[in-house]
Amino acid sequence: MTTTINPFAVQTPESMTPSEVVELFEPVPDVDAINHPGHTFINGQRGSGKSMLLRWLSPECVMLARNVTPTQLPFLSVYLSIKQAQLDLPELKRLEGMGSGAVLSEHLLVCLLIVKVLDTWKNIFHSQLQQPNAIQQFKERVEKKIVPRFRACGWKDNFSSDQLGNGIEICEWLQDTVDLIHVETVAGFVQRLGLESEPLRWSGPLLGYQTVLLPLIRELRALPGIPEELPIFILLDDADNLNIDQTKVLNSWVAQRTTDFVSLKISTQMRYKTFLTHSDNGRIEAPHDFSEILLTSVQVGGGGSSYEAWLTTVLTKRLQKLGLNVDPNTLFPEDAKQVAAIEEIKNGYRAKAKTDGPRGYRANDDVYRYSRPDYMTKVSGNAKGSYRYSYSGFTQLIHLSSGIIRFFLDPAARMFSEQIKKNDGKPVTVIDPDIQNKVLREISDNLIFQELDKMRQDAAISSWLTHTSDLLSALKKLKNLVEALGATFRMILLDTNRSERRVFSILLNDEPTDEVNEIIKLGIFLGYFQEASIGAKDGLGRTRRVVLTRRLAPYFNLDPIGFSGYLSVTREYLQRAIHDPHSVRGRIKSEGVDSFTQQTQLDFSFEGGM
Amino acid sequence: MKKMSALEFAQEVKALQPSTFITCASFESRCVEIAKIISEQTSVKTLCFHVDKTCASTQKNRTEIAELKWPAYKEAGLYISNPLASSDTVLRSVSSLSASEANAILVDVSTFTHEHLAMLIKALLNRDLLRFTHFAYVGVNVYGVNPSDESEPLWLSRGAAAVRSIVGYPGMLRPSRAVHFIALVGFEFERIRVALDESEPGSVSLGVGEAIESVTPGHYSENKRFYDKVAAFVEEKSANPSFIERFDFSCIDPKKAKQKILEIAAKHVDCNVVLFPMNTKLSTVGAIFASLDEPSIQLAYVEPVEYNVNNYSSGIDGFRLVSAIELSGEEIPMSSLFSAQ
Repeated sequence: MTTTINPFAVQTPESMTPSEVVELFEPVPDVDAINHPGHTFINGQRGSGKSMLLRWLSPECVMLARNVTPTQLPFLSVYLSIKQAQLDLPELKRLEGMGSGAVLSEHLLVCLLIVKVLDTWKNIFHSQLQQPNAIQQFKERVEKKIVPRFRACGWKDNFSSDQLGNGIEICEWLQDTVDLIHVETVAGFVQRLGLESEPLRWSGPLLGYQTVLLPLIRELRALPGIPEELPIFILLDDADNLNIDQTKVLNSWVAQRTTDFVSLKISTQMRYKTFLTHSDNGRIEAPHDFSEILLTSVQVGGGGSSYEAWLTTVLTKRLQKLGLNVDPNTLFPEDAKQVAAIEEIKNGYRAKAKTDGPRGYRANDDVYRYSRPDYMTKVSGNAKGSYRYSYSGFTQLIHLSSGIIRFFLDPAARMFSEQIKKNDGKPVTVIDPDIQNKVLREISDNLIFQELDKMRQDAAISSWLTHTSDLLSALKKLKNLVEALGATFRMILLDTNRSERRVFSILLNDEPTDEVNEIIKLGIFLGYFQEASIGAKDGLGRTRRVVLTRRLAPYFNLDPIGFSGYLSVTREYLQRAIHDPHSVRGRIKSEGVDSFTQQTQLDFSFEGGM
Repeated sequence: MKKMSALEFAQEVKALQPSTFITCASFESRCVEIAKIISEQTSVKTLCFHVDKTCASTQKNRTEIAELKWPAYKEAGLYISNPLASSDTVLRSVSSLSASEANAILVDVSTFTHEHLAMLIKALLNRDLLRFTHFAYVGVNVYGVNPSDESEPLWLSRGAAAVRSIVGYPGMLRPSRAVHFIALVGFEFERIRVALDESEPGSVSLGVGEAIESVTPGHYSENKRFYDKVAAFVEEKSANPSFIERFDFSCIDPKKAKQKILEIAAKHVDCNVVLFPMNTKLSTVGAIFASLDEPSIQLAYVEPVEYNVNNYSSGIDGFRLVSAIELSGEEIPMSSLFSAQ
């Protein structure tokens, strides 16, 4: 069974039909909180599957997955993409930090959500809204409950219930009304805000979360044919794109006890601006105010890790959808000569363990820790030799993806396309190890040479760079730090005297300087690092661990597989690394790795994660 | 729109007798060309903007402009990363220009950023000075030479620090509508890619310069190359073939560019139209006037991380001149402060 259609092509969740989503989506373990009432933050780097998770919660997908009707839905979600909402108008900065900024921010957000709520009602409860008793009640509720609230918020237009037709038309009238309020606010007031530095008076309506949105949802939920106790989930995607006032407004919503009725499910790319609310000293915290789901797994360990099992299920679904009943291991074989050579080294360790005893605790520890690094050392006899190591095989691909599904799918899609070309269009049954290696090395090189140099940033990052003069300078320091770490880890890999040669992370025992902290934060946001914590040796508290993305393994010729040791680095190492990575390499070459780092042997009961 | 030699342009300027000259000093050497001609032909009050992240070549050009013969000369600093502060500076600077004294205002649009140029035009409109304004432009022979990288022989800027609407052009976005993205593609891929990623549009119209309406044939072939790259990216992102529409526009005639944009926007009246002008400043003038004519269009900008300051452009390829009246067809649109809808 073969296919020429690329099973790894990445589609945006919005472009997928509900049946495609339900067919392909596999819930990540530990995301059960998202299915239940309660505010939840879903954090993950770009490509980790946040939007897909939220799409899966859409009522169309839930009905299909659980084979239920609209009135049997366990919850009803309303989706808003903050990016598409275009909320962060530069003119609003004029009001930042002022009470009026918060009020206007809430008003704009509420306008958008009202329209989305009504869209959802029209789409899901279409037939319920057409029933005569529902229409009658809807009209009454609009006239007696909803319009008075709009008026109380400053809406002044003339209204007559004669304007209202059937249930769908009532929804559309409400949407048009809110649309116009939004236009008036933006095109009128916000535009003037940008063009006049003197304070401006706004006399238009100001719609609020408690004053309009929640009451509207209550009235909609009370209509005949709609489950009265139906939990409502408001899904806000990419909330990092909110400005500071808007973020505080959202936090204030999270702080409110509405979860028996409305729950907020908020996705971020780990650069959420603040957890403060608008009240004095107010702050939202987990688990008191919300639960958190972190979609990025740092635990990419040996066989049986949850990420590996999950990814295998996702890939198998994708392959099966196209009639390809092939195991991913078969589709992505490792270079056969390399496998044989590493197996020979493994046999050597097993034999030596029998005669001389294992170097580590068990023979298998030696096999696991040293075989591949020994092979990598062997093939790197000269500069070009480093490139004889092949980054191929399903296991290596999993580890190189660093726990983010997008970082598996994108390279896999490219490999598949190249294999099709190599096959002259004939179906693909296997992806050549050479192609796998080439694509992974290209991507790794690109990460250093092009992406870091042409990296896109949000202005929010520039605004929190207080210890680095500008964004360009910060990116250069990040590149320096990445280069220094990669070079250090490579030197450790080649040092056959070391007990653990696969090192991929650093432990921050000393609190780094603010400048270094900013660079690490930038690296985490851009996907070069992931952060975890580990129990402190003295048993008191936890220590920060910064993990280099395994996507850079091909660039630095590192072994990406399995758990690895970490370096306990000094403040001096980090400070030198960001300013002068060559001096770090020079000192390690002349005085050894331990001259200003201290490697710690990894305990295999390591927990990982945040 | 006629391309003129330096001599022809000088004669036009002399006939125009502008009372005010507005320009922007930049790292590009062409920013002094029109200033030199103006200072030799007329006696004008001059307002020279410059961007805060100055580099040696900007400083040099700024000094060269300042040392030309002006009866009155003012400078004002603008910001790449602070649009509100830039807008305030532009408004303040323009407010000192007197409508009663205005004969003609000549703006050298060549080396403003797209964003700052839009702010300037809005400020002139709000002071009722736009009807006196003429826009001048210096074409260049070669853009963005990159001798160190064969894989990308041309680069103008790198990275994208922010994507935002331009102050004064927020559009009339309706929450119930999807975004329709319009871009006038120039010589940059990264900024448009980021703009697309950030906007998440429901549909896209991509514009490429027409061959006969490009500054030079060489520019056309480069423009086409970047356009193809952007189009391939958009197609890869969407399985829906009707997601992307292609159109040609004029890089040298703002009136034609404006008409084309309005034509495209009119096909998407049920969408929130967001417009990214990223080609010549002449086509950007057209985009700005399209937004003034149709305030529902949001004008947007992608702030780059860095510019190719050493090799952004070289060589001069003629001068062009157009009046605001010509662009608006006799009627300058009312200041948007008085027409919110």
